[in-house]
Amino acid sequence: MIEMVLVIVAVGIIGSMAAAMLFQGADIFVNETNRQGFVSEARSAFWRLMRDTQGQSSPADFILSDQNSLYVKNGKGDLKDFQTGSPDQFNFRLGTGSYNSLSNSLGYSQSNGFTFYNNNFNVVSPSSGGLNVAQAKTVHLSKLDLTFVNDTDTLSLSSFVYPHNFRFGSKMSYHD
Amino acid sequence: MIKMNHKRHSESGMIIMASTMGIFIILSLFAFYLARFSITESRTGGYYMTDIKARNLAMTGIEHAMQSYKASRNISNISGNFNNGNYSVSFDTQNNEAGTALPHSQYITVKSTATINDVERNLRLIISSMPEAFCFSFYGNNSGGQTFTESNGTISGDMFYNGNVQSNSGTGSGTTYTSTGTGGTLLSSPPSFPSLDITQYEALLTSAASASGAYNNYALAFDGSNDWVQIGNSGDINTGSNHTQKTIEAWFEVNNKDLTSYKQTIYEQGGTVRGLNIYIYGGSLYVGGWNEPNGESDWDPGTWLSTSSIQSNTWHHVVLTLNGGNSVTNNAFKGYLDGTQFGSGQGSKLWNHPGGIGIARNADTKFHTGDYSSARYFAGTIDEVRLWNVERTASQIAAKKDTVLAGNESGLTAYYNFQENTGTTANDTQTQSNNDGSINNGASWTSGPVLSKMNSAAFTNTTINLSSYSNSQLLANNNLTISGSTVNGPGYIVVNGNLNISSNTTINGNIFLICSGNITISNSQIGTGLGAAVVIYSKGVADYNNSTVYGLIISKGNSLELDESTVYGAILNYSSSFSLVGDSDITGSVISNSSVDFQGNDASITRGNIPTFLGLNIGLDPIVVPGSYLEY
Repeated sequence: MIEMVLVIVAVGIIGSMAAAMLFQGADIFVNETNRQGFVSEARSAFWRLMRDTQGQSSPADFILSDQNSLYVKNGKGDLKDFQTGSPDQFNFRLGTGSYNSLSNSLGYSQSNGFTFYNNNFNVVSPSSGGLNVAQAKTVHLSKLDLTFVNDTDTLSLSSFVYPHNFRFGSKMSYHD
Repeated sequence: MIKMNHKRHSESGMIIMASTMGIFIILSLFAFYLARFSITESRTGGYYMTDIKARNLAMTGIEHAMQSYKASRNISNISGNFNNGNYSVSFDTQNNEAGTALPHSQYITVKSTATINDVERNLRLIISSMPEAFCFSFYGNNSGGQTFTESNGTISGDMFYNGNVQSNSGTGSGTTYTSTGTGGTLLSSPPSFPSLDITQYEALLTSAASASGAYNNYALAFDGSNDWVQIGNSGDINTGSNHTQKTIEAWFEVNNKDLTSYKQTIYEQGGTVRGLNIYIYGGSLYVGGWNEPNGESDWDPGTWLSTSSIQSNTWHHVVLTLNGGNSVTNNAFKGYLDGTQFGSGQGSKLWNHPGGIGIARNADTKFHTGDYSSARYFAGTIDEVRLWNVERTASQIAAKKDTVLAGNESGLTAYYNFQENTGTTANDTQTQSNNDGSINNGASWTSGPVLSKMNSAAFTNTTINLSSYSNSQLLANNNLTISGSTVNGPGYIVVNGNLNISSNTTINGNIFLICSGNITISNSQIGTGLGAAVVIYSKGVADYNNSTVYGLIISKGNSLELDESTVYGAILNYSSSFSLVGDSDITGSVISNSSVDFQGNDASITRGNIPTFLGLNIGLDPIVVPGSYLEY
C-alpha cells in the first residue's frame, strides 16, 4: 500500500513537472509561431512592395503617389497601387479592383511611408493630392520605410529603390 | 503472502516504467514539433534569399544575352550555370512574353528564366536593333543651326529637330524640338545623334585599297628629249605584204598639246613610203596612213585625220583603224578619240614597210604636212599600246578601251601594257607571238590612267556570287560598275573608288556595299525585303535614282539625294546636303546631321519598320527600349 502511494506521488510529481514543461513549451511554440507569422507577414509585404517598385516602368507613373500611396505601372502596363492607412493597414490593389490586405500589423503612426527623390537626391515633396505630372517625371529614386508592430514586437524595414527600367531612360511616346 | 507481495512490487514497477515511457514519448513528440517548426521557418527565410539570387541570376542571363546580341546581333538561345543555379535566355523577334505582337520589326523580346532549387524567376527586356534616335520618323541634328521650315512633302510619325521648328513644318502634333517651335513639344532630353563605329567599314576599304590582285596601272613617261621604245620589224606588224587590216590604239597624256615647233610622235611604223602613225601637233591629234607606190595602191600622199578635242596633262585614248584592199577605197581609214570616231578617209592595205616601229619617237615617218623631218620625241606618258591585225569596230573599241586585255584576243599581235614597272624591256604580253620592245634612254616608269573597267571592275548582265570570293568579299581597287546583274550574298562589295549600280541590277539581302567615293544607284533593286536587307556605306556623293532600297543607307559624303526612289529601312546621313526629289518615299526612320530638303510635295518620310540585321555588325549599338523591363 505504501509503495503504491509512493508510486502515485512520484507519478504525480513527475506528471506535474512534465505538464509544466509542456505548458512552457507550448507557450513558447505559440509565441514563436505568432512572432514568425508577424515577421513573415511584414517581410513578404515589404518584399512585394520592393519588387513592384523596382518594376516601375517610367517616373511619370509615380503620379498621385505621396507618403501614404505608391502608384506603379510595370512594363506590361499593369497598374498597381499600395496604400498605408489607419488603423494599421497596408493594402494593395491591382488595376481598378478591390484592395487586398498585405498586412494588418503596420505601425502606421510609426512609419515614414514613401519618399521620392530627384536626380540630385533632393526630396520631391508631393503637392496636395500626390505627385503631379511634372513632379513625377523628376523622380529618380524612391525610399520605402515601413514599421510593423505586433504586441511587444516592432519590425522596421526600409530600402531605397531605383527601378530597373530607370537605368534605360525614360519611356517616351516615340518608343511605342 | 510472500508471493502476493512480490506481485504487488511487479505491478508498481510496471506503472512507473509505463508512466516514464509515456512522458518520454510525449516530450519526444513535442520536441519533434518544435524542430519541425524551426526547420520550416528556416526554409521560409531561405526562400527570400533564393528568390533574390534567382532574380539576380535571371538578370545575369539578360546581360549575357545583351552582350551576345550587341557583338553580332546573334539571337541564338543562351544558357549558363552560376551560383548553383541555371539561366536560359531566348529571343523573340515577333512577340512579347505574352504572345502580343511587337510594335516594330526592329524590336526583339529577350526573355530570361533563372532557376535555383525550386525557385524560378522570369524577366524580359525589349531591345531595339537600332539606336534610340531611330525611334523617330525624322531626327534632324541641325548641324547647320537652321530653323526647320520645310513645308513641302510629308513627315508622318514622331519627329525631332535639334533647334527651332517653324509653324506648320514637320508632323504637327508629333513634332519635338529643343528650342522653340509651334504646334509641337519641347523635348528637354532628346536621344543623342547615333554613334557609328566605322572600324569595320574603314578596315574593309583599306583591304580594298591593297587587295591582292588589285590592278595598279603603270605606264612609261617620256621626256621629249630622247626617250623612246624601239620595236623590231616583225611579220606580224610591218614586214611582209598583206597588211589589209590594222588597229593601233594607245592611252596618252601629253604635257603640251600646243607645240608647233615639231610633231610629237606617239607611235609610228614603216617609213616615208609606207606606214602608219599617231602624233600631236599644234593642239591637234593626228592619225595617218600612206602607201605611195604606183605599182601598189598609190595611196599617196595618204590620209591624215585630226581632232582638236584633246587636253594637255589629261589622259586620252586614241585609235587608228585600217581596212584596205589592193586599191584605195573610201572610209578604209578611221580615227577614234576616247571611244568616239572623229574621222574617216581613204585607205588601202599596206605592203611591206620595214622602216621600223617606235613608240614616242619618229624614226622615219611622214606627216600631214608632207614633210619627213619635222619630228621629235614625245613629251608625256603613254600606256596600253595595242597592235591588231584586224579592224576593231567602234563597239569593240569602246568595250575594251577602259580595261586590260587577256593577251589572247583574236587578231592581237602586240600588246604593251607597261606593267613591268622596272627594267628596260617593254614586254609584248599578247600570247600569240613575241614582239618585245626595248626602252631607250631612260624612259621612266610611272602611274598609268585609272581605267574604270580594270581589275574586273565592270559586271554587265551577269550573276555575281559573293561566296565565290575570298571571305565573301569582292574587293575593287578602282571604280566598279555593276549593270543589269544579280548579286547574291551574304558578303561584301568594297570599292576603293566610285560604285555605279544600274540597269535593273538586283542586290540580294545580307550584303554590304562599301565605297570610298561616289555611289550612284539607278533603276535597281537593293535588298529584297526587311529580312533580306543591305547596308550601304559611302563617303562621296550619293545618288539614288529610280531605285528601291531595303536596308540601311549610311552617307558620309557631301550630299545625299533620292530621286524617285523608295527606301524601306533607315538612313543615317552625315551629308550637309540631303534632298528628296520627286516621288521619293522613305518608310522607316531618317537620322540626319542636317535638315532635309523636300523638293516637291510628293516626297515623304513615314515612321516604319527597320531591319534587324541579324548576324551582322553594322556599327550601330542596339538599345534597351525604356520601360520594357518586366518581371513576370
